[in-house]
Amino acid sequence: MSEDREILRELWNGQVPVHFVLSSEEITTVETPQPYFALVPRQTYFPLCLEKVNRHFLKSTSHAANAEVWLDWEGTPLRLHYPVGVLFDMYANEGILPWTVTVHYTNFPESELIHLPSRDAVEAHFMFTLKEADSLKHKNTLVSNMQKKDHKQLWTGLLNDRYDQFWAINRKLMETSTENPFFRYIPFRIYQPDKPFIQTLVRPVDEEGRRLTLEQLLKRTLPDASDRTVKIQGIRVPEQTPIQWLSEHFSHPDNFLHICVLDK
Amino acid sequence: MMLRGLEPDSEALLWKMVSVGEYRDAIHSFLKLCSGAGEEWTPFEDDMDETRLMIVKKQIIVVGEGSAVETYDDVNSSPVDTNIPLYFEYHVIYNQPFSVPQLLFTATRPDESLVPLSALHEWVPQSLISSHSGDQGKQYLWETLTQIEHPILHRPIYALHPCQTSSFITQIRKFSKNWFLSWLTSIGPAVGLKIPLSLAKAH
Amino acid sequence: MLSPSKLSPTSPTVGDFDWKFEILKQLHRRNATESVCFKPVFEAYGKLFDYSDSLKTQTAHLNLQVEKLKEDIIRGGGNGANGGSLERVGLLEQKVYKLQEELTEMHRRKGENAQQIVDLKNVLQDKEIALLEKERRIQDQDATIYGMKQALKQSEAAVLELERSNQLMKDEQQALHMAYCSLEEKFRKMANENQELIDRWLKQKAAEVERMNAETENMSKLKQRSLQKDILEAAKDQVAINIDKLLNHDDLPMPPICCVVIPSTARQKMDAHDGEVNAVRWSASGRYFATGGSDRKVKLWELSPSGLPEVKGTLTGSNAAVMSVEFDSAESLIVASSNDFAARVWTISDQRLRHTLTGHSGKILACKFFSGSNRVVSGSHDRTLKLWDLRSRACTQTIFAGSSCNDLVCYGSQNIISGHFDKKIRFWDTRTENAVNEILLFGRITSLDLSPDSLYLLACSRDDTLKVIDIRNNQVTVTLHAEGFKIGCDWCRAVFSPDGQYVMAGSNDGVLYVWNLVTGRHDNVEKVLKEGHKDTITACSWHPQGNQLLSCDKNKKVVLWSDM
Repeated sequence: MSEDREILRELWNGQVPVHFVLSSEEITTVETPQPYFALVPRQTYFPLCLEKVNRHFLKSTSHAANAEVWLDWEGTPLRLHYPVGVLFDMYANEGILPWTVTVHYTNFPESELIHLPSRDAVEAHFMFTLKEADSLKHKNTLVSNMQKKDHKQLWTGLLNDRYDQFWAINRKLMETSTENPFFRYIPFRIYQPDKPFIQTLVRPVDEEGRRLTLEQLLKRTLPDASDRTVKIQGIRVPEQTPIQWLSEHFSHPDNFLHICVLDK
Repeated sequence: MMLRGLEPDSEALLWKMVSVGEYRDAIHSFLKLCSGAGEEWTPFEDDMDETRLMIVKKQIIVVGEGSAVETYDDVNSSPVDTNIPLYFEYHVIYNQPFSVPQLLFTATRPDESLVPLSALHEWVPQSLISSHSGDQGKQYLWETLTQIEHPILHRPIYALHPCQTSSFITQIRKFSKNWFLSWLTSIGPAVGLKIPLSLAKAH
Repeated sequence: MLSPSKLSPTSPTVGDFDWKFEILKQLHRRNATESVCFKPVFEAYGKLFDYSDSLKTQTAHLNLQVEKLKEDIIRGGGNGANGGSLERVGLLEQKVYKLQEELTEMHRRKGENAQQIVDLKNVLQDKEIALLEKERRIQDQDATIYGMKQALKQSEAAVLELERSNQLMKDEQQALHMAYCSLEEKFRKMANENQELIDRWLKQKAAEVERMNAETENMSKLKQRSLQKDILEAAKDQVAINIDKLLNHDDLPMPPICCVVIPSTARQKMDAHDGEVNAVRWSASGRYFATGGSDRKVKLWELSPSGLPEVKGTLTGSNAAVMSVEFDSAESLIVASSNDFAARVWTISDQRLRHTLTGHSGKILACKFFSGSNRVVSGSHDRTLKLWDLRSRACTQTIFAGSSCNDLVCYGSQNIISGHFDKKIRFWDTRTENAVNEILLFGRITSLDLSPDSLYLLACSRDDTLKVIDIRNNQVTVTLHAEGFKIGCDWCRAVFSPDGQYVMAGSNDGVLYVWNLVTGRHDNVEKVLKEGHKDTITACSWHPQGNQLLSCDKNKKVVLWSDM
């Protein structure tokens, strides 16, 4: 058990080094602005942590302070509604650290990126994903039966990096009982480079009641893939780990297991 | 390998959720109705996954100054005025985690730029948010009409949040002969989707 | 905190610790690389950033204040409160100055840090490049290996090819070998069969010959017995014999009467030829004798009524030394062989040369009439014997003897015996090509003579011995030698007496020896005749009636021995 607690703590505290660079198209001053370095928490979303970045870069541009910011990595626009950790694992992928990301304020690629112009939009998206996970895990959805203040507590716990605050509510969503030791279905998404994510229905046990492992999950959803690196939360999880345990401990705050499958 | 949808577990839940089979049947009967009434909905199937059945309709809506929404099927037939035509595309899909149907749509201007969500929020009739007011109402809007990643096409699209849908449908089922048609005709207008009454009459 | 029920199947099992431990390990490692190492730098950077930002605002603020104050000062020109405010301004200016310095310092440090970070990035990039280089090199090696493997495959294929063709050749060779072996087998069988057949045929012939010999023997035995009977009967009657009558010169040849009396006196010594006299022979009746010499002549001699020899005629035609002479049984022809490789036949009556028999490629040492007057056999130093037919004047048969022939005798119609340089006596049957028999002696055979009853053969050889050989069983019955008796040349002739009891031969010191066969002793010299010659005796001949001898030597002399 203590390992589980330690694991949860380590995951919550995970940060990635990001090197923000202003896109050359945005610069309107004579002087090129200095890049901005920051350690960004894995569990958060980019639109929530760019305040300082914006403040710094907007000095060198002619845009208003409420211009909608978007990021790209080597020309690929980053989906800001994915958690930071997921984006890092997909694109930074054991490359040079810190992870260099270009900041834009104009020409938002509407055909590819979802707008998250305000904190409320991010909160709505987060709650939507949480409810989806809840619906998959439980017959009677717990989230919709929670009070409004509990929803708020989850959100603010995430927003303000408050582990205890967040997990006070989240543990209810991760609980299982003796009669029902498993979730109904495991909420997960599998990301592969240049492909849409895969999300299907998978039970955490097989027909004989044995715990399903990560390896088996991957076999069912990606039967043809071999020779690949599988990362969750930035580490290569041992493939014999049961997915029930993974869902309880390795999910992001939105209660989803975000699994990155990359070529070796 | 065909992926099956959620099976209804017990009778108690039967009326709360919509199974894949029910969804498919509803879609097919709705399509039959449409072909009879001249409504153009195009179906899209995925041979590998029966839950990914989607129907698509395109509409042109001209928005005037007073935000009165009038629908035309053909831009050429609209009266010549300064009103801007907007191109809407509606998708009905099956939302598997919530096991309900879901209505998605895009709205683009003639120059192909996307109509922003904030603008759309203003058009949503007050009746839908009447129970909420002020900031709460605004937040409620965000929770119901958002931009998401299309579950099948994986590109940005506007969506009506399904968690309200399931409770809504459970209510409808109690008294409606065609729960699907009732649902679609109830929420559609909020986002500009008009279903001709002839359909209801035909049924 | 999270506290799942202890009884649930998600309770940790022993195996769970493996992956949990692994997960923890990886998490620590992840944090170490992703956040821990950057934390201090980023924190410091953040602090500096904030600080510089605040400084910037402060400076902007202060600058504004300065401007304002400056304006104030300019406007409020000679105010009393100037001094105080000037001081204040000065102080403020100082402050501003100091702050500006600090700000520059901060900027500089911030720049340095940024530079550090950039440098680190560059180092990392270089490492990446080096790695790529290594990979490229590995790829090249792989390509070379691949190329070599291909070449190896090709060579292996070529080797296989060669082995295959080699195998083909081996198989072919084997097949041929087997064919050859079988053919060899066949050939051997056939040769064996052939040999077998020849042997059988020879055996049959030998059996025939045996039978014939046995028959003849019986016949002769019968004849002898009847003859003896007659003689005995005749001996009962005393009849006066007129010896003179015996010596009259009838034309008809008289049958020889054998009463051998060995003379002791050399009656007449003649100079028969210039040079060596190689051959001397009485005719069948004893009326004539012939001599042949190195002067190429054959001389025909006749005994006068007084018993002294006179030259009847000289037969010419030879181009080299004459080595042997013989009369035919009818006393009408003489055959002589010569060192000019030819044998010649003259008629005695007109002393004319009738036939010249050429064909030999070497000196002819011996020639005899054979089975009548129409056939001649010659033996030559060209290692062949040739049979000649005088009617057709052709060589009818050439027998390859294998060694130079020094002398030959013949008996019957088919049998020839020749003596050779290689110490062998060869027995020939003219019907076959190969020698019927051969006897090896201890010296070169110089002469052969047949006993009158054709049962014994006298062979003279260079080991200074004479051997008497029983022809029937090819056994040497007597070996004769004498002290002081030495053969003088390769063609020294030894002869039987007409009754077969004595044997005569000449020595190289001119002494003529006569041995007695009947006594059976080795050293049974009957007589030694010394006064005749001074030189090597080459040949001798016994008068058919047994009481006169002729001998010739290398120094022209022919001696007639007679006691009458």
